[in-house]
Amino acid sequence: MNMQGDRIVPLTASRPRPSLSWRKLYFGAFGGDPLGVVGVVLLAILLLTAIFGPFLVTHDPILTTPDVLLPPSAAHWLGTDHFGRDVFSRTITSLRIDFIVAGVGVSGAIVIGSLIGLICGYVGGWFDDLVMRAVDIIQSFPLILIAMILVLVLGPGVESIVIVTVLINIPLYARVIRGQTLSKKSLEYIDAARCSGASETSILFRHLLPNTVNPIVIHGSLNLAAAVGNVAVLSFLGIGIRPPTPDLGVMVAEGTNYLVQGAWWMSICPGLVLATTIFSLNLMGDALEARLDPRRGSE
Amino acid sequence: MRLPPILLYVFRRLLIGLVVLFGISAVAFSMAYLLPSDPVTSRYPDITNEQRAEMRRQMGLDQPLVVQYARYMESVFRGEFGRSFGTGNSVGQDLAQRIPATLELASFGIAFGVLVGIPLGLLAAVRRGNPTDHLVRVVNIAIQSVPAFWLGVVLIFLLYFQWRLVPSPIGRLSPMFVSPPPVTGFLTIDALLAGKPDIAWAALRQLMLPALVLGLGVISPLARITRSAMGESLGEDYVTFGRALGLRSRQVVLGDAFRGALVPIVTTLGFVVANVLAGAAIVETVFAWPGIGRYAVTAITTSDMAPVSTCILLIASSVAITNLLVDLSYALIDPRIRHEYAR
Repeated sequence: MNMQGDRIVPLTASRPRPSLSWRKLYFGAFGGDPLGVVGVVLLAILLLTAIFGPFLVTHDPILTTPDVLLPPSAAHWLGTDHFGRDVFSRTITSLRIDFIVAGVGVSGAIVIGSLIGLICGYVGGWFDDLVMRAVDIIQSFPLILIAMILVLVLGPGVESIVIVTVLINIPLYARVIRGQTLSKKSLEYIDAARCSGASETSILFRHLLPNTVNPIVIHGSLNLAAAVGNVAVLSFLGIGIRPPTPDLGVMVAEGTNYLVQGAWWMSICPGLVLATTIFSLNLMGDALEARLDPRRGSE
Repeated sequence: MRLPPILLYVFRRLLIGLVVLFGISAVAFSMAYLLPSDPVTSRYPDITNEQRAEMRRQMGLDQPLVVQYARYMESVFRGEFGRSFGTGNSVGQDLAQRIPATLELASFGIAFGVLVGIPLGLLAAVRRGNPTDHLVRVVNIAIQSVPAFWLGVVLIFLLYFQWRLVPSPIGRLSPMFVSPPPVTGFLTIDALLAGKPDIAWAALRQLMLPALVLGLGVISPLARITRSAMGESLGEDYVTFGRALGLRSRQVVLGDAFRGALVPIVTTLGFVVANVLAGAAIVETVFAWPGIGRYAVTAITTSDMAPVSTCILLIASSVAITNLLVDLSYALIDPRIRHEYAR
């Protein structure tokens, strides 16, 4: 808060707009950590590929043709699969679908989880106890196992994978945001806001929530990496996204049956894209954590 | 007579564990009712409505949910878990065959992960900020990012189909060998006990790849926590004191500082073991390993309810037991915690 005469104006009103430069972004966001930059660049390439996927594909990703199991060539950059579909086009389409599923799922979990965490941390009491015990129990189980069970209940399909991704990741954000809220709700700026007549809702959403954004960014990118992996695992096991919808996990699974015939490109190529996606998200998350989490200290 | 406080603590933890298990058994049981498919219709698709009602009555499905749950729990306590219509055997039999396979795979995998992960973390902690530390960090992130199912496929393709370095990646033992008489259920150990080192070697070669893939998942969380916990304990006064006394660096780092860092490491290890059980489902599917992971996945994909509920119960119990062991081991590791109990 900034005092001007007897009027209280929020700091943001008088703060000069910071000038943005690549140099500042590099040292600011990643503390000069080259790994984070590698992660961001890789991720940007993959995201752009996914976004502009429909313009980049060279063939119809689900059209079956008689050209089955062709090795990589000028016509089919990553070869064709057992139905004569172009592996390159299918990989790009899958990447797009997997990004959307994991992205929507994690965003949903962030919104709902943060809300729960915020209320738990702010209100406390029996509601907090109840929710946190439930979170403890859920978190002591392997996420992928809970996901499998939920998919079983909801039935296969893209929508249920999104819902499952939301549900299994809610506890993470609820716990993190609760901790943040607990540590910040007794700070002076909250008292100041209350004294100047801010309503409880306004304290929650305008003063507490924006200050919990660091851990959300860190956990969000690491969590997105895990979510992309989980979606692929479920699909690989045959309980996630089902063929003919292209998915990286489904493609690897289908390819395993044709390794005997030497058709390595069917499994290896989509899996490599999947691994790179997870790797870039993990790199970014790790660099952000090193930069933003005070417990990790200087590295 | 007053019980020693540590026993009281164990009882309390056991009680909480039991409550949690009951809750999970209720969840496992209700699964059957949340499922979109009806157990009678899925087994006998073309029967009349009267026959279906009669079947439901015979199977007890017309009773209230609570009664059905009570019956289910009663049979679970008798050791009857129902029948799998996938294998045609009782679930108890199926599990008895498959549990040793998963245990062998998981033990080798966890052992590999611990033996690589903890030294990696120690190395990074001692060389904090050096190139070695950064290298360990990149290796960790990379290991963590490679999906286990894809890595399995890549390794099978290269090491089996291309270079023929490993035996056919199907099952625990190639059909050319006769399984040794079961004693421990671990093929490698049983073969050695039976005095057949060639069979033990064959089983080990078969086990190597899946255990490696499963163990990789253990490395990076362990290395990470070892690094950060060691970073903290290396800064403690008792470590500085040890160094000032002129103790050898190796003794201070591996003896004193590592012991101080052990509590968070064991916590992570418990968490990791729980995840290995889930990882086993993936690795077993890739390597056609006849364990409970693959059994559970098959049951899930075919909506075979009795095995699904039982596997949920089994995995939940092992997670609960792991957590209990982790909590109890704190008292062994840290004299301060032991002291808390004694008061």
